[in-house]
Amino acid sequence: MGIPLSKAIAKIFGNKEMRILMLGLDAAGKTTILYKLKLNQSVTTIPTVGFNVETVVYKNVKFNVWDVGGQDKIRPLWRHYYTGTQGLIFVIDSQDRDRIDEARQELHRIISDREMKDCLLLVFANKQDLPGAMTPAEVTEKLQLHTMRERPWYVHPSCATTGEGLFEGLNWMSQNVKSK
Amino acid sequence: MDVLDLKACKEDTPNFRRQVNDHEDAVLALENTVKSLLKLSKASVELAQEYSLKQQAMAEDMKTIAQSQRGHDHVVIQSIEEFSRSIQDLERNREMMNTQITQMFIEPMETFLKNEVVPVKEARKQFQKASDDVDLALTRYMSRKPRDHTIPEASKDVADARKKFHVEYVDYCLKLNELQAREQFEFTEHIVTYMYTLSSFFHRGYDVLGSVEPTMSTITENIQSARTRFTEDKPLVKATRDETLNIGNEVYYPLRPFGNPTENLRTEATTKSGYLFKKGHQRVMATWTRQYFEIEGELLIYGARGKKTEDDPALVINLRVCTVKIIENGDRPHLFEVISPMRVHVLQAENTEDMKEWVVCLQNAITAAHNSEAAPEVRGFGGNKERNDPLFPLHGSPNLNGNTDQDKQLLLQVRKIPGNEVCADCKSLSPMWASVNHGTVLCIECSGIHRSLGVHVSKVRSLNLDKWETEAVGIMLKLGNEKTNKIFEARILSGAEERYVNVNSERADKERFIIAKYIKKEYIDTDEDKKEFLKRSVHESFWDAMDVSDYTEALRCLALGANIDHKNDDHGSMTALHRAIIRRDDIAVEFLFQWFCDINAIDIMGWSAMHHAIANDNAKALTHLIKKHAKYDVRNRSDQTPLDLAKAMEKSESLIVLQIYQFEQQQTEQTRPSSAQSSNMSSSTIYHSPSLPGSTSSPASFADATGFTTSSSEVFSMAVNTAAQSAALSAASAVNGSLPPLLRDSAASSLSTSSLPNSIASATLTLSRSTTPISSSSPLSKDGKPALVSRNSTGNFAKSAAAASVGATPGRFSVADTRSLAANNNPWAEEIEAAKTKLTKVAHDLAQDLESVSIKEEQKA
Repeated sequence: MGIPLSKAIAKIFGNKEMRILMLGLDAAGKTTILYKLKLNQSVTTIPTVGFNVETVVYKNVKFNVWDVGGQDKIRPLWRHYYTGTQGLIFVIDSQDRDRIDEARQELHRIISDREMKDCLLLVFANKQDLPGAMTPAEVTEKLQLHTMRERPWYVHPSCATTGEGLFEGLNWMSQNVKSK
Repeated sequence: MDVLDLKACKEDTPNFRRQVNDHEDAVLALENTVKSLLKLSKASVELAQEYSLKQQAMAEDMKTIAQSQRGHDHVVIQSIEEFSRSIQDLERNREMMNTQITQMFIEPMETFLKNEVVPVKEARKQFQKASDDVDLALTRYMSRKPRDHTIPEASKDVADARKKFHVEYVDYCLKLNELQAREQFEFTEHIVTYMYTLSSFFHRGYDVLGSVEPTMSTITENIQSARTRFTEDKPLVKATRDETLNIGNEVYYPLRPFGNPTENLRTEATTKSGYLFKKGHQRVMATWTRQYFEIEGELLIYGARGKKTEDDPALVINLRVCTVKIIENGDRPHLFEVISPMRVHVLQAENTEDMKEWVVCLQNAITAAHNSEAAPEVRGFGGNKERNDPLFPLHGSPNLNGNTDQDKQLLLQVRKIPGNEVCADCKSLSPMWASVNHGTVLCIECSGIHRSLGVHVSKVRSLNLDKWETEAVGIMLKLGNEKTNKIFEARILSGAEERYVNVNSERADKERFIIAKYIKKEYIDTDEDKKEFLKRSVHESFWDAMDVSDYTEALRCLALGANIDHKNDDHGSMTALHRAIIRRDDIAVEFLFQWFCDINAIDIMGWSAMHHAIANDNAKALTHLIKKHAKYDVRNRSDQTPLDLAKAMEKSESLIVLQIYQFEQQQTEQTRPSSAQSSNMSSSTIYHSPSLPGSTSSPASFADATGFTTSSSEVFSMAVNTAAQSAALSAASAVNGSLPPLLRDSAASSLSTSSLPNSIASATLTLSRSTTPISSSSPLSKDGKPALVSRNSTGNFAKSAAAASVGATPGRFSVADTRSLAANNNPWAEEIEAAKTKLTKVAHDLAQDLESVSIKEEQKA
C-alpha cells in the first residue's frame, strides 16, 4: 500500500531516485559542481545565500542535489536538510590547506548526526587544477576518513570548472546506494 | 345643601324627608365618586410604575449606545451618560411620588370610605327599619276596636317605636350632617395632598433636568458641527468613491495586457502579501486551492480566507531554509515554487508580473533573513517534532563561536574605512563581502569572481555571514579599498589606464578586469627605472615595512613580487614572520599567514617561528603555528627542538601546547596507513572506505581504531569503568582508540586562550622529563588482545591523556561536549555527560598524583 505511482514505475523500469546533500566550507565549489552537473557548463557563481536544488539524471538515476551555502553563520542551518538524505557530497577546496581542519570538524559533525547515519559519503577533492592542491590521499588523511568504518565513503579528485571527476563520483553514489 | 334640622325629626314632614333623601343621594354620589377616584388613582400609579421602568430601561440603553458608538468623541459619550443618569434620577423621584400617592392619598381615601361613608349607609338601614316599625305599630294601634283592652298596650308599642325611631332619626341625620361637614375638609384635604405630591415631583424633575441643560446645549453645538461636517464631506466621499472605482478596467483582468509590465516591479521589497493558488501535495490529481500568502519577516505564512493561520505550524514556512524558483514550462501559467527541505510548494500567481514580484520579494526576504543579526524564528522548519530543538544549538567548534560584540563593532568600523563604501572592483554600493588578504570589501558578484581565482590569490569572507577572528578584522582595518587600490589600480588612478568596469558591467568584463588587476597585475605602477631600483630592494622593503607594521607598503611590495620569506641578514636572517612573532604583533602574523609565508623558515641560529614563539611567550602565535601544522621537530643550532627549548627556558605554557601537539602527531601517525602503502598510491588512486570491495587491506592499528563517535564514547566510558582501579591503564587503552579530535581541539583552544592552573603545568613538566619517546609500539598487540606494555610507556600515555583531558577543564570542556551532543540524539549523549564529569575528576586526581611525583623528584634532585 501507499507506493506512489511514480515510484512503482521507477521500480519496474529500474529507475532510482537519490536525495543528495552537497555541503562543504564556503567557496569549496559546491554551486559550480551543481551547475556543471546540471547544465554541463561552467557557470560563474556568486556565494550561495540559502541553497540551490537541481535534478540531475545520470545513468537512469535521478539525483536530487541540494547545494546549501557554506558561510560560517549559515552552517547551523545544514541540519534542516538532513532528513531523507541518502548521499552526502562533501566538497573540499583542495588548495585551501589552512581550512582543511575546519572542514574535517564540519564533516565529522554532519555525519555524526543520527539522521545521516545511513547515508553514503562522497568527498570531492575539488579545485585540482589550482597550484598546490592537496591530493586525494592528503585529503583522506586530513579528514581522518580512515577512522570511519560504518559507512561507505569515497574520495575523488575533481575540477568543477572542467567537470573532471564529477560523474565518476555520481557513478560511485549510484552503485552504492541501497535500493529502498 | 342645608344642614338637616334635628328638631324637624320629630315632625318628620314629607318636606324634611325629601331633604333627608337629598342628603342620602349626595352620600351615594360621594361614595361613587370616591370609589371611582380610588380606582383611577390606583390605575395611574400602576401605569406610572410601568412607565418608570420603561424610562429606566431607556436610560440604560442610551448609556450602552453611547459607550459602543464608534466615532463618538469623549465629550459626547460623557454627556449621554449624564443624560442617562438624570433620567434615572427622575425616575427614582417618580417612584417616590407613587409611594406618596399610595400612602397619602389612596390609603386615606379608602379609610374615609370605610369609616365615614359606609357607617352612614348602615345607619340608614336602621333608620329605615325604625321608621317602618313606627308605621307598623301605629297602624296596629289605629286599627284596634274601640273597646279593645289592648289599646293601651298598643299605644305603648307605638310610643316605644316612636322613641326608638326618633333616636335613630336624629342619629341618622346627625351622621348625614357630619359626613357633609367632613366631606368639606377631609376629602378635600386628600386631594390637596395629591396635588402637593404632584407639584413636588415635577419641581424636582425640573431641577434634575435643569442641571443637565448646559450639557444639552453643548451637545447641540456638537451635533450642529457634526452635521455641518457631514454635509461638507459628502461631496468628498463621493469623490473618493469615484476615485476608488476609477482605476481603469485593466485591474480586473488577471492577465494585464496594458502598460509596461516591469514598470512597477518592486525590486527592494522584502514584504508582500496576496492571494496565490497553491498546488496540493498529492502526487496524482493534485488540487489547487486559493490561499492568502504573506511574507512576515523570515516567515511565509499562508491560509484560506477567514481562517486563523498563526497557530497552525503547518502553514508557516521558514524562509531561511527555502529557495524560490520560477517554473518554466509548467502545466499552468505563472508558476513558481518555494522549495524547503521538507516540501516543494508549487504556487501560481495571476499574471507574470505578480509572479516575478513574488519571486523577487521572496528572494529578498530570504537574503534579509540570512543577513539578519536577530535570533532566528523557531517556527516554520517543519519536519519531525523531535528535531524542533533550538535552531542554533551551541555546537560550534571553538573557532566557530559567534563573534564577540567587540568583533562586531570592529566589522562595523571596517565599513567606515575610506573607500569601503563601494565595492573595490566594480564600485557598486553597500559591499558586504571582503577579500581578507587584500583588506578590501567587495560586492557579492565580484566576491564570486575572487573566489574562482583560488585562495592563493584572494581569500573571500562575508562581512555578516562569516565569523571573523580579531586579527583578520585588524588587517581589514589597516588596509581598506582606498589604500589597496592605490597599489593595484595605480595606473588607473594616474590616468595611464582606463577603468572599463562599473556596476552595470557584464560579468565577463568584471572577470577580465579582476584577473588583470590581481593576477596579471596590469595596473600596478611598474615604472621601469623604479622597477630596476626596486628589484634589488623590494624584498628588503617588504621586510622593513612589515617590521613597522606598514601593511600598505608591505602589500605593495608583495604585489611587486617581494619574497615574503625574505631573510634579513642584518637581523640574523630572520624572516618577517620571526620578527612579527618577536614583536608579538598578532595582526602582522595573521597577514603573513594570509599571504602564505613559510611557517617553517629558520634563521641563522636555526630557530623556526615556533622557537621564537616559545622564547617570547607568544602562546597565541604558537597555537596558530600548531594549528597550521608547523614542523615541531626542527632543531636549532643548539640541537634543540621547540620542545627542548621550552624545557630549557622553562616556558610551562608553551610546554603544554607542544606536548599535546606532539602527542597528536603520534596519534595521527598511528592511524595513518603505512607509508609504504601511501607511496604506492598515485594521485589518481581512488580513496574509499576499507569495507568496500577492491580496497586494500588496512593495517592492524588502523583496523583497531573505531569510528569517530564510538571512539569518543569509548574513551569516556572506559575511563569511568575503571576509574576506581587504574585510571592510568584505562586511559592508556582508551588512547589507543585514538583520542577524540574533539578533545584535542578543545584542549588546544583552552591552552591558547586561558592561562592554566599550576597543577597542570607541573604535570606537564613531569611529563616532559619522561625520556621514553612515545614509541610506535601500540599498547595493543597485533592480535588485538591487551598486552603488557612497559611501565614507562603506559605511564607516558596516561600522562598525555591526562594532560589532554585536564586541559579540557570545565567551561572549555563544555564546548567539546556540546559539540558531540550536537550530533544530537546521539545514543551516547547521556553517557558522555556522566562520563565527562567522572573523567574530569579522574584527570584531576591524576594530575595531582603527577604533581606530587614531580615534587618528590625535584626533592631528590
